[in-house]
Amino acid sequence: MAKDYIRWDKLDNTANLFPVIAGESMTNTYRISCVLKEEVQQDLLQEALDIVTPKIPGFNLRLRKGVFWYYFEENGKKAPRVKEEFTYPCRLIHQSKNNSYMFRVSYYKNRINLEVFHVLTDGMGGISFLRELTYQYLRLAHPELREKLGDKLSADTSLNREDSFKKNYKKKSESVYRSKRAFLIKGEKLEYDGFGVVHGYLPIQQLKDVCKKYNCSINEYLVSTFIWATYQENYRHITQKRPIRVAVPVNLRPYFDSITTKNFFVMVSAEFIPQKDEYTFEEICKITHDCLRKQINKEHLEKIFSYNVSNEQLFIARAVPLFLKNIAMRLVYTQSALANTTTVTNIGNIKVEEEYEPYIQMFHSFLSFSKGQNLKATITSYQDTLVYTYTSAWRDVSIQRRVFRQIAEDGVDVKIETNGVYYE
Amino acid sequence: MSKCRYCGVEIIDETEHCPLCQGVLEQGGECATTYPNAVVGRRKLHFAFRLILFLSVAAGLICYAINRYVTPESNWSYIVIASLLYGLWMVYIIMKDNAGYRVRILSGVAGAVILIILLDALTGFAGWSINYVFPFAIVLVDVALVILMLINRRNWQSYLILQIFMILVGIIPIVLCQKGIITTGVLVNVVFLVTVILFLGSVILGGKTAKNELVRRFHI
Repeated sequence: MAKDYIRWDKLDNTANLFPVIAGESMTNTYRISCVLKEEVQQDLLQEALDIVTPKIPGFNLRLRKGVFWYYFEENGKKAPRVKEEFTYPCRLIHQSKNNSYMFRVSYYKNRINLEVFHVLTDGMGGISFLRELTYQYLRLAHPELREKLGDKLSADTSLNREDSFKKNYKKKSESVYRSKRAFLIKGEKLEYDGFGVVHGYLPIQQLKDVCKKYNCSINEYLVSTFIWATYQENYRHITQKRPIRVAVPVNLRPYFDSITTKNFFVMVSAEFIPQKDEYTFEEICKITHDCLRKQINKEHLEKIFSYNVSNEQLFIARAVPLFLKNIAMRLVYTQSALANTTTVTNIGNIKVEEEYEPYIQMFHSFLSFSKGQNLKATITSYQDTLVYTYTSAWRDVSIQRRVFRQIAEDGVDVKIETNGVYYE
Repeated sequence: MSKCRYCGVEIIDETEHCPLCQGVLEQGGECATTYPNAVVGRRKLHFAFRLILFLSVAAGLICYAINRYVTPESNWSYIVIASLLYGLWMVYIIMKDNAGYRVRILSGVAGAVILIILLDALTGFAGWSINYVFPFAIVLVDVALVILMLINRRNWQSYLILQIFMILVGIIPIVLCQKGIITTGVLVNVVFLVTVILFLGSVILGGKTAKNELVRRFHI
């Protein structure tokens, strides 16, 4: 029989949007993968998932539809089935076929893939879960590790599910969102809703040396390579009316002393408005550097989310039925989504416990597409390698080519790996 | 690993040409394929979907043509076309990955009611579709809900919101009855009463579990 009390929780401010806009072409799913130094065994990975899922409350959830809001409810069903990867990444997660869970785990050769519907958590929460899953898998595959370390969760893992948006917002804030349209990349799509992936493996030390030369951070440098490549490939279409705007998600946890595993990020944007005909790469680095530095400070970041959260807290807005909220959210989202050319997200440097390091080769991650943004980039680092991954629905790879050629020209050893769609 | 001399990058993939510029690679050491070939599976799925659509469109057109030229005095082909549309709708709902069984049941019943009303209209509109079939369809969904609650006992409370939805649907025949469109007033009222009793029974017998479910569903 049903329990009298089922643990339930409200969605955070950002998460409210994802179930509304999610569909086959805009799945709002991201993938984080862990590449091991050994081949993955399906039965052990399933066993690891069965052990870990009930222990992580932020993943042991299902999404329900209320009259006024979506909400999370404790799931409690058997963990989703682990499958060998057979289709394109980041497909829509169908809860009805996934034991009502909002994440999926697959494997291919040495790689464990975790795909998460963004409503659950952002990259930080995803990393945390994948790390625990990998640890558990390795403990099962190597009994000596299990004997030594036991089956407990790692001390680095947070189970906190506080709504940090609500906790930290300031009342009476004004909107700082830009809604003017940006230049949007267009082209011929890959057939059968294809999903192209290009990973660029870059040595971090070499990147640091290059960034010193351009006087910018690694993040700013990599965002600049995108702007440079897009400008070079489309300079006739990039005007003051249609500038390049790159949305850059910023993890708010370090600024607000939070360890929540709910979403807690905002978007800032690196903007490139051409004022003259010719630009050097160095100039673009400087523009990106100045633009991002101006925005990434606590006061500005607070302003960005306070406006949205304070609106959400108004009782009149709360009491509007969900289907009407959904219509309004879709309209606002479309406007703001078209204000960005792409998204470049840096999920940071992934650290693992010393005992597991000998078994793990690499981590990488990437994003699915969103409205107007059919090409996106993600930055993930592990030990001395950074993976700069481009995902794209377009057949054309001229932007990716320019990006990696620029990085190689700057003296970085670039290794490229793709998911094979560009050889079809 | 192979090298592309045009792009100045190394390629890990097992390939002879660069994925970025299509230039031929200088073959080097060990290469690897790290992703599956995803295209094959998707091609088959698309084809199955298109085949069903094509067969339905062809059957509909052939029936319409025969009807027009052989038996122009009746409109039997409309019935065939409406049935094909309903069949297509059901195939779509069944093949649609993210449609749960609740959506499938509700849209299946709703589609059937619309089809039957259409059949009634095409055969002179005697009113049997809205007088009898519509109210009985509501009872059918009520019965389906009771069965689902019994099967899915761990989560029986999640059907309460559908029971509320069915009460709202039950109001439609009452309004139609007051407007004089439906003539079976007693039947319509009995159906509405059954739906309300089913909901009240679930809430009262469900106690705290039912109350908590309604709190969650209606939280502002």
